[in-house]
Amino acid sequence: MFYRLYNSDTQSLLAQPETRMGYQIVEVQQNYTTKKMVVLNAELAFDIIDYGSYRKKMLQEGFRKMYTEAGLLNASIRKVYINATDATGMVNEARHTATRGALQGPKEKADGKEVFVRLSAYENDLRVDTVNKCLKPGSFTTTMDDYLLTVAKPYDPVARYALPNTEVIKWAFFFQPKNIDTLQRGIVQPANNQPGGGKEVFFEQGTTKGTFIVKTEYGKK
Amino acid sequence: MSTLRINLPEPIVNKLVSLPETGMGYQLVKVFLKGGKVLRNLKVFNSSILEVSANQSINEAEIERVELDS
Repeated sequence: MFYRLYNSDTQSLLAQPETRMGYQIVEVQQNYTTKKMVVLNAELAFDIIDYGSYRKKMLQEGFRKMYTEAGLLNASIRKVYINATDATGMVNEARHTATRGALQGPKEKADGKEVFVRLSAYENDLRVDTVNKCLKPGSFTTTMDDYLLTVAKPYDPVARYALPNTEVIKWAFFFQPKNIDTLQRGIVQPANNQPGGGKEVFFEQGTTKGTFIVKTEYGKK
Repeated sequence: MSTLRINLPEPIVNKLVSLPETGMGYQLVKVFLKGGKVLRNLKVFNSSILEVSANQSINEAEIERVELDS
């Protein structure tokens, strides 16, 4: 379930630190039981175990529409998780009950054929090794199908990939990893006050030399 | 809230490029200033551009080191 907060609760949360950028994880007491909720923008609260299933709805309908649909939360907020370690634990709990980010995904080998796309605001993206023509270790991409879907709909890439919203995506870098390259797949988790929901692929060790195919402007072939 | 962007010095950029991203295109970092203050949960874009709120008003010369913020 999701709920909008009373203005007094919103004001209270605004006076307290975020758990992570863009959201707070809180413990509420409702009908003599306690539960954990994710609160976005200090206004809209989700039961933590349902949060993953509502992300797609938010991506499609937008925050404000969901806010207007939501009933009021009749519960008292008992605690805001502000400790970074606690927060990470809480987020992981949400991920494991719904979807998970790429960092929590199992490692697999590339098949040598699949193409991955890295979106960037920067033409000189420093994660792209233009000398060795590969992706540097510890870098994220999305899949080709998710990129094409995002462009075709169109979805806002900042929302879909939960990017800091001051960034404007202008460039797309295409990679075709070899079958010795390792990757981890997942779904972008909410961050930066964005819902996420796109596919993300993490290359812990980067990709091998010669796997960078081409750079284009975002959305152009 | 207005923000400022600071181009990080090359040694820090080189370090950040060698560290994993938080999400596509950015890293969350803590910044250790020479005066001993630590600024947490700041964003760095493209491993090279630090975003700080305008009221933090730090400059490149004040930065001692940068680490990933978990």
